[in-house]
Amino acid sequence: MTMGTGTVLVVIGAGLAVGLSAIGAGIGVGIAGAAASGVTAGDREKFGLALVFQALPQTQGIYGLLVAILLLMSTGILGGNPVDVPVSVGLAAIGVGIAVGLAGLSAIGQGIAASSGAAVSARDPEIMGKGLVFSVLPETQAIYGLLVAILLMAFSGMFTGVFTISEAVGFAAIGSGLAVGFAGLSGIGQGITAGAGIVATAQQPEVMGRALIFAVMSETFAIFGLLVAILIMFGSGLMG
Amino acid sequence: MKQVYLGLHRAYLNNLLSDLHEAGLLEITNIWDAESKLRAALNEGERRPEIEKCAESIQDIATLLDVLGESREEEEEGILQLLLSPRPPRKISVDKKDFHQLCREAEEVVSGAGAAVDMKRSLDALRARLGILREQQESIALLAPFDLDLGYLGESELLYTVPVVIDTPAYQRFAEKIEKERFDTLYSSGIENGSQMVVILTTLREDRDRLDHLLQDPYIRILEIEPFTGAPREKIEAIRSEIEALHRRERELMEEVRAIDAHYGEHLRQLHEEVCIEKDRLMTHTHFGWTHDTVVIEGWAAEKDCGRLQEICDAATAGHVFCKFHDPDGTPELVPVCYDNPGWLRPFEAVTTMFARPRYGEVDPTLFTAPVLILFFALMLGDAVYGLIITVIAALLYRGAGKVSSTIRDGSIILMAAGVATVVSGILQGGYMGDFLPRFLGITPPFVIINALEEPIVFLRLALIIGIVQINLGLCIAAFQNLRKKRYTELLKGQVSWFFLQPAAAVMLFAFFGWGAFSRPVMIASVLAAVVGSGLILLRSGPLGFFDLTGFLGDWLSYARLLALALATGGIAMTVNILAQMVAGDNPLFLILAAFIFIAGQTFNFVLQTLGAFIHSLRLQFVEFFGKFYTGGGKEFSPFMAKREITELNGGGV
Repeated sequence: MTMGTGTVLVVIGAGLAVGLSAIGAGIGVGIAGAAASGVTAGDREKFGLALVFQALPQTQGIYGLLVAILLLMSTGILGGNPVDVPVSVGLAAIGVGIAVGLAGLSAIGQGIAASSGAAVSARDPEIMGKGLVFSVLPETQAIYGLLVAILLMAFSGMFTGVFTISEAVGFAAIGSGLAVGFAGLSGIGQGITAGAGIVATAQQPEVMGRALIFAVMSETFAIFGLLVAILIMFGSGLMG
Repeated sequence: MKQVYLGLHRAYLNNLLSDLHEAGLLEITNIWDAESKLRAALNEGERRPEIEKCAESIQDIATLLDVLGESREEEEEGILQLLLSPRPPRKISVDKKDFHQLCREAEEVVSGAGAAVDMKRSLDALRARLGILREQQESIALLAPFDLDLGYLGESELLYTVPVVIDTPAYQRFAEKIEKERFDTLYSSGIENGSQMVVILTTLREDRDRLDHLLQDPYIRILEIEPFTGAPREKIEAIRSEIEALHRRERELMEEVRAIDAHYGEHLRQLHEEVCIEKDRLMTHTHFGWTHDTVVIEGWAAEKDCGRLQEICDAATAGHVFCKFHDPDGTPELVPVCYDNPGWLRPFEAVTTMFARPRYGEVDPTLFTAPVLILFFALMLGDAVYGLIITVIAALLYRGAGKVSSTIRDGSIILMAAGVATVVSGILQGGYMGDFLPRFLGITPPFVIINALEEPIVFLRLALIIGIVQINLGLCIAAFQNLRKKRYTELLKGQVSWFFLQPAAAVMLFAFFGWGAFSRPVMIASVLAAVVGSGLILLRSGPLGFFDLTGFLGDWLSYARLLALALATGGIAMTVNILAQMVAGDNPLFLILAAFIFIAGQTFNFVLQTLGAFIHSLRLQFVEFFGKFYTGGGKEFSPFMAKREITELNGGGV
């Protein structure tokens, strides 16, 4: 099979999507796993509970894998007929990879929150539900990354195979990916606040609402990134 | 919720308390803790002496139950049996008894079963002796190769002989130390035993302290042997005989304890529960206000139960009682809260409680949360096969552990609703373990309305529409609460502002992006509405109002997770299918590997996505929806209720 430049760029985009998000998910799962080991050492029956918390930061890795698979399918490298992808769409695919990959680093924050959740829930199983809610807060950044990735794929014709965008628009898609991707790192800060929120809620259950407000503050910057990403898409003509 | 005051003659108190305890309708407050208006006219009640008697009785019964429990040989139920087909506890029917009847019965039964405690002491002593004998057996077995008369061990008139075990690597060091010490006479004999050396040391009696000092080493263990004259083999034989005799005696004692358990065990468990209930009842006496002849009880009851409470009071006192029911007039935070939902909604109360119980006077969000929680779960999971699996698991749990645990029953009802909704959602999204049907069977799924993987933008629009509807529902509830409590300024700044801003922003965004054209009056009205809305928000929060605006946008866009999770479920399932197909396609011999990849991958996806769908669904309720109107933090209504787990009162109590 001969690959054109466009297809090569799509493949690089797929690599960025799964590779970067795997860094985030790997570190996040590692942080949560360290707490999970401690919890299980204290009480072996808490293994299942600890495992649930450890699994949470895996989601970013799954989003990365999902987007990588969708990118590879759009070129026909995986599960279909090879398609001649133009360079412009290849550039957009790099934007897609950066969006979901960088935003996937928010899993580090999720790992921090999940480690708190595992530790606190081991002492008081009734807090588990609240711990899970706090622990999924930093996933929002990854969802924004996935959202922009899907929008970029949709508007650049990767789902339909009708490629009409110019190379300049392809570069703009990279800018879009960078905006939401880097802004997604705010998930690390959010994870730190969410971790403290779990502890605060365990001490005084009635402060959960206020602790949630503190924790979602960091999300503001992810929204800025998302807004700029959408404005780039609109300004560059991707959204029609 | 109503504040309740009961006044009665003390002669009726025990009867009324017993009936109130069985009915479980009244939360009794401690007049002397609360800011009661009546306390100035009343006296504090004394702690009842019967409580000590109850405590003693509970202690005696608990000790006996511990002893009898150790003798029981019950088969432990596995986790699957516990979940799917647990043995429901058998309820013991009991009659209503007064304190003296209960005490007499408890004394008789404790006395009848009392022999078990002596048997337990004998068993403990017997087991301690068995432990010592086993240690002796092991130590003497190490000395067997020496063929030494054990009578020589220890101190004699002139000599001191001690057997020790030394780790082989440390033996050389020990031998050098012995050499350096220059004992006048020291006989040492050693035999290697695995990684250890067994050594018998003999020295003059006056050198005992010096030798003992040398033996204080972490790598050296002195073998403690009971006094015995004869060869090690003879002693081992004697120990074996003694162990057999002790085991026989142990079995006999256990049989006797089991016989006592069979005769008295159930009666003891029943009495333990009854005496605990009686003690709880007696403990409340200090919560009441007293005069010479009357007792005043203060508490809380749900409004719907007030009539029934009046009936119980009248029946227990032959009408010699006054009952007053008032609306709460004190601090709302002190008023307990109990949910008042129809039966089908009750399982979802646990979801609300997970966040926080509603405060008194606050809208209970359970009704709004339940259907949306299920809808979001179904949209995010969106796979008919996964939904069917959840439904089956939930049905098994409902018929199994759900019969003995209300928590599991409620959880299984929620799961069942979520499972059925997911089946429907899966059919509408065309998800059957991802793209299993078209990929492997060549069947195009019927009834598909929207597929997140094929039409992500349409699904995103749907998610955002659902989001804006739910957020505005939250704002409407908040507006209703403010209107009801006449907090008009908060209503204007907190909710009306958003009702101005949202349509204005929508018009301006559509115009900006060129998605729609609007007439000049509409545009002017939109700008004005936007200015008014933003102004009200900034008036409410000051410069931080800017974060209210970004926060609102964030809340709305957060509903994009409906698309993200739906994509993840379908996408990962499809990836698993592709991998399985690729492996199977290369070589038919790899079919087993392909089947393994398919089963393991789908199982992983099912577990992870089910967990994700539930947690993200909860998050949307707690953060985005509750954030608009709900604070929570209410005090749980905790009625005075007899905790009957294994007993039931004949005639159902009151």
